[in-house]
Amino acid sequence: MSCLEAVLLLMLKKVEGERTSSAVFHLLKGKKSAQTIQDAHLYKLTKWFQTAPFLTMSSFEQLLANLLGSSYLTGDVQRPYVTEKGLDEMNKKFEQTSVFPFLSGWQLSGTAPLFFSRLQLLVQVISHFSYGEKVYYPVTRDEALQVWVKKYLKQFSALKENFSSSLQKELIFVFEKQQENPECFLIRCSGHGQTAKTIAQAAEALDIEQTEYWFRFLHIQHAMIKIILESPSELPLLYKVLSDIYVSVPLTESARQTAELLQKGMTLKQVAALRRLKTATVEDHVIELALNDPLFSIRPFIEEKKEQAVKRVISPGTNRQLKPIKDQLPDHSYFEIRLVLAKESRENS
Amino acid sequence: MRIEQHLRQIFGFNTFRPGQQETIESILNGEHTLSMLPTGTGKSLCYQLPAYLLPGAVIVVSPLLSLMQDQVEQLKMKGEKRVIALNSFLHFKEKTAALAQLHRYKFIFLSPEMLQFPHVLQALRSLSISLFVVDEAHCISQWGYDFRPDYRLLGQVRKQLGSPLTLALTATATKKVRKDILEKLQLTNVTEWVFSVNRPNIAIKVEQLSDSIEKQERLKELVSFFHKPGIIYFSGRKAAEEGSWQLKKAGITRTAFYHGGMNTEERLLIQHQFLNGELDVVCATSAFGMGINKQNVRFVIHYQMPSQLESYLQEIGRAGRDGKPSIAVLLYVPGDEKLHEFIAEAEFPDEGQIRQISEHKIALRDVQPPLTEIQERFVAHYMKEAKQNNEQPAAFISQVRTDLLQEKADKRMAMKEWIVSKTCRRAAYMRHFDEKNLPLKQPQCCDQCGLDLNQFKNRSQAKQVNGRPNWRQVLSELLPEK
Repeated sequence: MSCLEAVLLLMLKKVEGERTSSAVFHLLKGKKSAQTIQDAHLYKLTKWFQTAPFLTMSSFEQLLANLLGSSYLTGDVQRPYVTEKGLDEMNKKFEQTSVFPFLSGWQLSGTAPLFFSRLQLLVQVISHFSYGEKVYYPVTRDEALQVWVKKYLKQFSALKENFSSSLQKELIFVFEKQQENPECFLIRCSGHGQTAKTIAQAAEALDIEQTEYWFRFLHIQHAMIKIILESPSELPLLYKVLSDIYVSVPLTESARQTAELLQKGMTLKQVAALRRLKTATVEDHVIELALNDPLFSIRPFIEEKKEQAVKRVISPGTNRQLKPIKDQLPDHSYFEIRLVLAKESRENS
Repeated sequence: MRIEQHLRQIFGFNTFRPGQQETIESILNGEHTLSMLPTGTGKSLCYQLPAYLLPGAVIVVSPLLSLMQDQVEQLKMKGEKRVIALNSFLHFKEKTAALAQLHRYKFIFLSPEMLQFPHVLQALRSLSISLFVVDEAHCISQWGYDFRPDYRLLGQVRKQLGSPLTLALTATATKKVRKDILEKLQLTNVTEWVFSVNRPNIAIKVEQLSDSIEKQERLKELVSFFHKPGIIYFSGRKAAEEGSWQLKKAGITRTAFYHGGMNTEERLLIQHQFLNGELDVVCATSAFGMGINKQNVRFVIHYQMPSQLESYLQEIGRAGRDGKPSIAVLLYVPGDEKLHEFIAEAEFPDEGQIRQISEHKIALRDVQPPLTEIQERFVAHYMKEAKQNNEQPAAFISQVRTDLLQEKADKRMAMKEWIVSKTCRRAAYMRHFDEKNLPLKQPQCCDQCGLDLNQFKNRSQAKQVNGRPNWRQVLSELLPEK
């Protein structure tokens, strides 16, 4: 079983009976819709958010068809159920890889690619510089990245010859604090005497299956980012690579704009009118805020009494489909119910 | 003598390659120039060197984004900072900033689409332009290999820029195509430098095989046998991947594939690995090679025949840029040409799609089945042309399509005839380009005149792929301690 298949089974298991398989597809792709973002939190699948952006609907359906064919799934492509056999195989796979404890798709999928691209170019520039090599092919043609590296290096110009050893020490510090083989990362670096490998080449060189390499590679990046954020004073060079791209509360751009207007004291309707959005869309933004921002209060949108009423209905372990809850609470709007669910799911995670 | 000094100082060469000096001198004399130089002989030097002797900017129109980027990168590696590429991949902000600063650049690379924007033209008009270069000029001609509709508007653009001194460069253009280039660029009084397409240091072999299994086996045999590095051309992405997998299984481990379906970063890495000597073999589609400046490629194998002789010559021309003996082998199974028929059909929108646009006024984006990027550009271009000529669009576009398909079929036929012919391969391709002189007799000519494969045998020890050292060693090699 491939690593991606195991991840799929894990996710399908959590939503089975309540969501169709396409909910899992959107989660893996990182679709920035209210529904997908809420699902990620509701089903505690945030770590997998946007961790397989390379999927297409047809490759996803092919994967499901294969899993159905091997009886790891039963039912159909739209509404599959994970079998005992599927769970066994999945657990075997995760025993070998772990369930990637540092992985945080929702939090870091926006940050990690830029972090990697910056570090990859930085390592190359420093590497060739240390060996006195002036002529080489830059690993990226992205001019914005090249400009960034130049500015970055200027800040640390006092370090000069020592930059290489300092960066080496910081990387060792980070690599030793996490569980993946640092080769997963280093094999993707260019510099003196080596050109970075592509994902397929890296998997082959490390003799692991391609999707497993992919998740290990993501995992080591996310782990590195977390370690760097925890120890900025020990890791000044790496922290500076990260500090201006990391945001502690990940939000879609649109939700961020809504948040700013709400903070100025506007009502939902006023925000909707000003931004020429439907009220329902602005409500989605509020749900997104409730899911992600620990300082966000839902009180302006629902009274305490009504919140308690919802909490009584959604005792742990119940179905998280809205309709059955709404049937028991005819005086509540769907928006109010979703708000409470959102708050609960953030507090529990 | 001063141009030779520049050659040494800026480019580090002691002598010119055939055609470079002639082209450069005629530009410096202020003559419009069309130069046809064989592939792999350094065409870009023909405008790069004059740039340093001319006062104003040099504008280079280039058909392919990747080619443009390769050229920009190569100039930057020579230490030239005054170089910029304007293409549709730039963000709006970057583009605006670049346009405002245009006078600061010596080399301005542009895609033909960019020249259709009035504000771009406006910005260019404010510059003093010393030279207008049309790279891969055969793209301007409908009869040329790799025709780009957007290139047809370059004549008009040139006029709007005040008819600057112009250099048209190509490696593969028949007499008909060369005439078409001059006409479309609206150039008169042109100095033409036409050099032989012959590359004497590349031996040519065609092997006919009975089926695809035999072909596969033969590929493994040849690649194991030959001196490396080399490139193998396949007609599709899947085939290239499959080929690389087969070769690796056969023990040729330093092999990778390259095609347009990979993302930009990955393609760049394969290119760099090949340039840095970390790969022996690249299994590629035709997307690979243009603009890649690797001197020591020892063989080019075609696993499927190309769609025309022009592409064939472009592709084998990537071998032996250093002038040392190299070999090109084409593997042919009867019927291989069928594939190109399908590929050609798929390049154009079909009748149904054309009617949706012209008669039902459906937006290009909403056509079903959806148009590819190339199809979209094709339709957009000829809709405009039909309007200008007061033609009924559907009929007009269909006619263009039929004509172009016929043209492709003819070229395919010529390619096939070359493959099955029993005469000197070199003489035959030279005749195709209307060359009157026959090639000199040479020891390693082609499979018809005689050729000793052992001359191309791998003599060096196969490079061992050692397991990678542990990560600490890798890291301290990359980032050494002082």
